[in-house]
Amino acid sequence: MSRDAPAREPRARSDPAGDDRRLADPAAVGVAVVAAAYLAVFFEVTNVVGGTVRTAAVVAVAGLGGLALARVIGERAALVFSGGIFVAGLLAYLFAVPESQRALFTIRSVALDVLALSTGLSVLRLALADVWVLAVAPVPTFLVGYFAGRGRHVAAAAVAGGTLGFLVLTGDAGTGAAVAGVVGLALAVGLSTLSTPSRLRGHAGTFALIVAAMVVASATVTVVPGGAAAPLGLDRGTSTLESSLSGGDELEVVGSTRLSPEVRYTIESPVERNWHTGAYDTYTGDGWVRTGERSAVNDTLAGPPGESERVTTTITAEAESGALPAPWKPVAASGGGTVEVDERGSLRLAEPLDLGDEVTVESRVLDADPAALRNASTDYPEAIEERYTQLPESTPERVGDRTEEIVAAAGAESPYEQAAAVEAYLRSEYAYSLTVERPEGDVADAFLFEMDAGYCVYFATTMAAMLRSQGIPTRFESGYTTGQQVGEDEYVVRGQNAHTWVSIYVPDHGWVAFDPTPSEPRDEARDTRLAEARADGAEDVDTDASTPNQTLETEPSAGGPNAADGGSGPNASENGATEPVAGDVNATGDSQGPTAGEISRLEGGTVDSVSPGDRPSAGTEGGGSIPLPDWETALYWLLVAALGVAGGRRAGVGDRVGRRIGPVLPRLRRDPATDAKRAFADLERLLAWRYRERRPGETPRSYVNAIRTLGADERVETVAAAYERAAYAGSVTRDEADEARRAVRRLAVERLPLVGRFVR
Amino acid sequence: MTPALTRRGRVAGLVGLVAAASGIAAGGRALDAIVIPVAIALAAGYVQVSRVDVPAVRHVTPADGFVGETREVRLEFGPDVTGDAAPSRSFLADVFVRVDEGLDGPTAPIRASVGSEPVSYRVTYRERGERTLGPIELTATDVFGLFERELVVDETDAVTVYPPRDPIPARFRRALHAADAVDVSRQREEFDRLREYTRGDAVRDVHWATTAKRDEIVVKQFSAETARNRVTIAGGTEVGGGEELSGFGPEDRSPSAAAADELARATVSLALALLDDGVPVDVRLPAGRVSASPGDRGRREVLELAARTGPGAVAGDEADVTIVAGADGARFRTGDRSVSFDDLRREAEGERQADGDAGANRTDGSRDRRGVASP
Repeated sequence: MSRDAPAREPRARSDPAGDDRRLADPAAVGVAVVAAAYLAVFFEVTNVVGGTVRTAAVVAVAGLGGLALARVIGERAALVFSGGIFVAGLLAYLFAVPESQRALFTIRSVALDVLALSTGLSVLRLALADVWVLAVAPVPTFLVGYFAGRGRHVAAAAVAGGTLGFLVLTGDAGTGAAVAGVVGLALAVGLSTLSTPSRLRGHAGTFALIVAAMVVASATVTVVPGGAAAPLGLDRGTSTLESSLSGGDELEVVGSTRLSPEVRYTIESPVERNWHTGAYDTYTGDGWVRTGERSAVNDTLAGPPGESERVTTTITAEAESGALPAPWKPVAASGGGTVEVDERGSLRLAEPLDLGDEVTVESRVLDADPAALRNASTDYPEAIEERYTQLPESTPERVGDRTEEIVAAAGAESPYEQAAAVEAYLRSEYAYSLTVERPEGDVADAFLFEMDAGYCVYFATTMAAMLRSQGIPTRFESGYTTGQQVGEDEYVVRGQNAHTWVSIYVPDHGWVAFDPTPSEPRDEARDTRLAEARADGAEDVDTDASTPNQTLETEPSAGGPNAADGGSGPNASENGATEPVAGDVNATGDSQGPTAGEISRLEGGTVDSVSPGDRPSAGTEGGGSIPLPDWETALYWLLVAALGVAGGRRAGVGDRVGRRIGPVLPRLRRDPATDAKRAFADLERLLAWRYRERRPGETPRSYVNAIRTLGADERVETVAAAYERAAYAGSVTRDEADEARRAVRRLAVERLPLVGRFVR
Repeated sequence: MTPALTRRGRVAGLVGLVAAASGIAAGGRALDAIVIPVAIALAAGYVQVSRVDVPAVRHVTPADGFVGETREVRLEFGPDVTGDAAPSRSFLADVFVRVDEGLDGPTAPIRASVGSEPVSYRVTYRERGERTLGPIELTATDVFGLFERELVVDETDAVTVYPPRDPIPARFRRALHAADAVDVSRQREEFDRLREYTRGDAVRDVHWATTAKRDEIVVKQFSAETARNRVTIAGGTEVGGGEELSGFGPEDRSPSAAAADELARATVSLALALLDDGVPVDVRLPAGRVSASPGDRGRREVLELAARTGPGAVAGDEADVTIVAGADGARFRTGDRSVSFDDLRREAEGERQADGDAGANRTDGSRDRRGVASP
């Protein structure tokens, strides 16, 4: 084929039939697989941030354009052209970004962003990720189409693989996509190396073996240290249990989780609240992401727009910690080194706190009349509405439908009432469990329709998705529950107090928190875990103040007796004891509006572990979770089996085993002559393996005699005699044939490893 | 040679290292799915390439042929004796066969699976003489082309490339032997002897008188190839005087070599034409001499001598035809007449066109081929 390739080349260039030949090349399949892998990742992103249809159209145009131009323009021109598209796309992205952010673009910041992207900053966290994808995705697609159209499949696969590699670096491409990409790349490269039929015939086995080994090894072995992505230039040094709450800007919903009873903070606060550490704005269907930049806190930040109370909280770190838990909404901090504020108003520590560090945070807590919240307008600021009503495009309709039903049943009208109704529904209809299997697909949808229990992340995610489906700006908040009260206005917060909840935006008042997680079972789980830890004598689970049999010990009566009363609507738990917020109005299902008491309900001794992004902790309790879903497991074992078979065949195991096992196995009896001949043939194989083969021209008798001198016993002669009689005299009897067969079988059994030892 | 990374292999290795470094510096992500396959591919590639042994190669040499002909050459790899070991020994390689400069071999390496099946390539004969095929260079590689290793198989083989043959006009041929000796009629003139009948003898040749006296049929044998008609051809080149023609032709060849080529061409053209007429020839060239009778063997002897010959003076003086070649052409001298080979060629061309159809052309060509290819 290659011999006349030079002659064919110029012809193919002008011949349209040449195009078909190139695209029909098996290597094109590999290119298609890699391209599909990276496009799938891009579409996962657009599914979350929107614009899937638009992106698909642009990518299709780019790919087909590349194919069409393959024969028209030279490679240099194609590279220049795609470079042009890339620059134009990035410029368009730059102009799409709001002006205030555009001012921040400097060469240094762009370089830092690129560094951050290539070290694990998800594309989702870019400002206007949808526009970014729209600008970037067509470029490699064009080149892939172009090179594939030219028959340069390795180049095409390399471009696609490079793009996928970038997405692996940003952390957007998961193992599945990466493995698919690697397999595709291997197909493209291997099949173009094995481009001639003779090569393919002789080496397809080796090729398949290597590819299968790649897949199996990728799914089995871990060589790169695990853990969540820790983008360079951003958020370093926060990979402890609460990484998701402090540094992690991406929160993945995981399956079973466990509680860490270690003490994290001692918080002195005049109010008893859920301590806020961060919030998330983008729901990806299987987790949460926060987008946008952070800025330094120079001045006191603005408080909520409505009435608020000034609260000063002192947080003492009882362990090294990267988060700053404080009542919402923090406006100033002192004593903790450099503090930054993100676009959601959460305070973020630039450097983690060391043991014993003390930070004073000033907050403005909401002090609003429930009626005012109920009656607030729905005139949301545009930026808030756009950012906090996002839902993945793939979110099933039934989430919204179910929410409408719930809201209608409760007769709730205002967003505040609707949120209260959904909160009540979730609290009453679902059980609390730390041992859950991570569902496939959209977490909110799966929790709402397929699961009956979960922990705070599931409750909060589902509530947020439900409210967003009704157009209510909702965000997912993370932090800690109040913890163990150890004195007046003093609380000990442990790792197990990590918690998530939601808040909705109420115009003129700000973010109002709702906690859909049933609190009573949550407390029980917390207490059990803490008691276990204390019984085990674990360290760091108590401070001096929190040790049991301390007189100060007063467990907060959180949750209220009716907090998780199944079925009953009202479940507002008023912990008025230390609660300065007025208004003890019940939140009820029958349109008796929830009140500012809702907010107080968020406190209380609670247990909940959020371990998103904290893989080591996931699945270590509750029987552990299977790392691979079913079909993947099946595929995996199929590949392992195929690998074993192929490897065995290559090593010739099959032949060897057949040779040794064959004579042992029972065989269909034929006429004596055939049996005798077959017995001798088996014997010959056995002896050949043990001593030497029969030489060409050597008679069975002389062979057997020779073997006898080499040490074989007299049974071989019986077989040879039966053979001779069958072959030459034609007068072998049934008995003689059976005798020969038995002798051979016995010899073969004696030869078997292990078994032979007992027989002999 | 030890296995070396190809460009592709270097890129793969670099990707693996970057991925591993990135994983260590900034978290695992899905980088395992890159690092492990790259490591496997590289390891497998190294193993595949390093296990390769220099294979035994056998050239299935093509038949000798004339300048301008293209032949297919086959390379067979691996010893056939150890039959069962052969399949696992096969490896991927780019096969590049070095050929003599007088041959046009494959320009691009042949992508083949060495050991599993033979490789064939085409050579075009460009210059007369003994031409060698080989040595063979193998660039062994793995299925992904990540490693490669150069192997040289010192297996050479030779083909003889005959000088091209041109038609010689019948007039000139006839002048060299008796005009009536050409064609069948000539043979019946000279009665040689009586002999036993063998199958295929014509009935008209039966010597009825003798047959009647004996028990067997006796036929007359005519002397077709008598020594009387043997033509001696002596050839040589003009010594010196060729320097001014050094610019001749696209090849940078010395004038004496060009003269030798002309000599070979002219000799082959004339000698083969005579042999085809059934006239035995004696050929003396600087490389030696042969006495050839009509038939394949005679033709080959003449062709091989002409293929080998170099420049040199005409040996001896007694010859029916003396060919003297210069870089610009050859001249035939018969007795006191001298005619240029170019003129004869033109005349023959004219004759052939006068004969008209291309059929004559084809017959002529096929005769040439049969005569050479069949031995």
